[in-house]
Amino acid sequence: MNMNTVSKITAILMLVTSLALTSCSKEEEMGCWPPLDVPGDSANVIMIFNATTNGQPLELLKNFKDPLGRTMQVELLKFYVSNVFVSFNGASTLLKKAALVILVDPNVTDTTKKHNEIALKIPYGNYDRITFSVGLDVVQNAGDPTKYPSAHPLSINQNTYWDAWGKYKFFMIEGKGDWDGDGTLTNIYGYHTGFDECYRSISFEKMLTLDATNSNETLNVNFEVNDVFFGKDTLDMKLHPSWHGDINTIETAFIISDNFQEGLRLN
Amino acid sequence: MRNILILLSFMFILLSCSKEEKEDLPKDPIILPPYNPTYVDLNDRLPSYLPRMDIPADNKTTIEGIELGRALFYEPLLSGDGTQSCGSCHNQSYGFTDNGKKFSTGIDQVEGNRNSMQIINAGLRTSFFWDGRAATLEDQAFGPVTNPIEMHEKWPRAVAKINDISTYREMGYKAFGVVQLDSVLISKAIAQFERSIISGNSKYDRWKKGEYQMTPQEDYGRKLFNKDRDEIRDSLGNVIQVIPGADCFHCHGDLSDFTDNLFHNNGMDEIFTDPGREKVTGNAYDRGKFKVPTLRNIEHTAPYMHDGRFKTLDEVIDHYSDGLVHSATIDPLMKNVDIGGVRLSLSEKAALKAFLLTLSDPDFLDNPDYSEPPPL
Ligand code: HEC
Ligand code: HEC
Repeated sequence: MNMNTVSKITAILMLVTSLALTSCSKEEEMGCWPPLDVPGDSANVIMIFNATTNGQPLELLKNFKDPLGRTMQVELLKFYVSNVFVSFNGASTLLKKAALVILVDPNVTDTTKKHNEIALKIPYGNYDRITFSVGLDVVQNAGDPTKYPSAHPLSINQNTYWDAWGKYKFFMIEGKGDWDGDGTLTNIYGYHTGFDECYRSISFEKMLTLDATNSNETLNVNFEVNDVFFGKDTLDMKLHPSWHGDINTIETAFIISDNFQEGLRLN
Repeated sequence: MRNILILLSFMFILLSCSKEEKEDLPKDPIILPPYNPTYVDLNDRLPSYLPRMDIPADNKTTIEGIELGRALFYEPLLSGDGTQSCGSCHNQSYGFTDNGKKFSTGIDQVEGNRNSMQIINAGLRTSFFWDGRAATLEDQAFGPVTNPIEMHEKWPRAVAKINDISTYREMGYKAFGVVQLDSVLISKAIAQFERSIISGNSKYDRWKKGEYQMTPQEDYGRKLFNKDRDEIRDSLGNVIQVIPGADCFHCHGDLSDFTDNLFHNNGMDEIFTDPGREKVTGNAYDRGKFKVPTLRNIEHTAPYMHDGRFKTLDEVIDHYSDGLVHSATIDPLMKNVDIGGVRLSLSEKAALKAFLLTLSDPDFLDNPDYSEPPPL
């Protein structure tokens, strides 16, 4: 088998996967909030995303200190989680194509829904790994947001779409800070990562045994907000107070995407 | 005691009346024509690149419903003294706003403190009024009739006046299959008409459909509208290059019909006389936030903002360019507030305005389907 055939096969495989990923099933039309149906008996697993500021639960507009001792607040924090898989010995099962996780958003008034939770149905069995991505894959990112029903996570109504760039925003964080230490939160920051280049996948080792006696599980995925700016790389928020899709300065979006990816913890 | 007696005898009269009426029913029932409304999918009338409207399951749109709603929208009988209709403060030629007025005046000549809002592609909105206090068009339409600074009428009286007119009873039957209209059905009909008020043939729309070529100035304005203002700095933090942009798309994105349907503080005041969204949610962090209006037909909906403070589009553009002020709830997307705004040059301002003018839709402003119908 020469190189050419290999790449052809890869291309076909990729096409098939992406087709499988895009094929809008009934439950996708319903808004994708219900978990994907899986054959046979399955367990209900809830993935909960929790953010902290210096160990305390993140709250809308609550002051906290960054590692430089400056006061800051978060006014909006939401991101896409997509392509959630569980696997055992390398064989994976797709559980969720895309969900929008909202941790802080003053415009979300519907408190009946837990916007930081993703409900999953996992077939009974043993698993050793859970994998998911932050952002949307190439196919989802190329979709037309006006074609989804309004409650769908990819709908234009989620306000996660850059009309100008024709792409989705993957991770959005906005707020205010006091960079000059004068006691007033007059510095504004806002970062919306996006473009296929900011898609990040995370995989955790996780032993799961799901059966009739253990059919409800909760997976907590935690992260510290400060780690988003002060992680593997540090973002100078005073110098670069925002990023909204300018390809020339995409470095800023990379720092946030990488730091967030590294900062996620499963327990 | 006397009062109670009067009340009791009054109730007795009322009860006996209705009884008499029942006995008086004609022996041969009136044969009504079959109730057979024509359903329409308004989404078919929207340009393909816009999101779809969510039509409430209990108020499906019909040709007959729209027709009734249109008549009611322009019906002054719905007001206390029969002088004012919805159309009085929502004039089609002004993009369904109040004739260039800063504030509207109700039938009692009391002036409100909010600028009348456009009704354009309203079926795409997810809340109504500047503070979003109504969740649906049906809820919204229920309000003005009894609002003391608007039409100042009592619903039972308004309903009785409408039902007194046989043409309305006929139209009501065709639209809803009932012989008597009530306040809920009147609101539903008006909401159906409002959803049918669609603008989708502006220069911008024709450009989207490939039928119009924007002038270089309009096109530059479009690019500015859809672009952040960016500063490239050296390692010491000095600005070495400014990439112009007007930052409008964050809140007025074109694919969502030039509004994100949310509430923002766009940096107009340091202290708020109108609490805006806070009045609805009770949350201090919503102080001074207002609903983002669509920019369609913006040329015709002056004056601008919730209090009509800006008379012209130039004033609006100057505000976003140089006039932003700080406050606790200012939106993080107004990120150039420290330097007053997006700092556009004169030619950039002119281009941005030229683009905003491409959102004017003459076919909408004089579409006979939305105008006042001939008298019943
Ligand atoms: C006296 C003038 C007046 C009359 C009469 C009036 N309106 Fe309004 N309308 C206004 C004003 C002013 C606002 C904004 C009020 C606010 O936000 O508090 C408004 C807001 C609205 C909105 C909200 C639009 C949006 O996008 O949020 C709709 C829809 C509307 N009116 C429809 C109607 C209908 C239907 C009637 C008749 C039943 C009516 N109006 C009668 C002045 C009027
Ligand atoms: C942070 C969100 C945000 C951004 C960014 C923004 N706007 Fe607005 N815009 C609003 C809000 C909110 C209102 C209503 C404010 C009020 O009435 O108090 C508004 C109102 C307007 C109005 C008046 C509409 C009317 O019917 O009265 C115009 C025109 C307008 N904006 C144009 C622009 C332009 C042009 C830009 C870019 C230079 C822009 N906006 C950027 C949020 C925004």
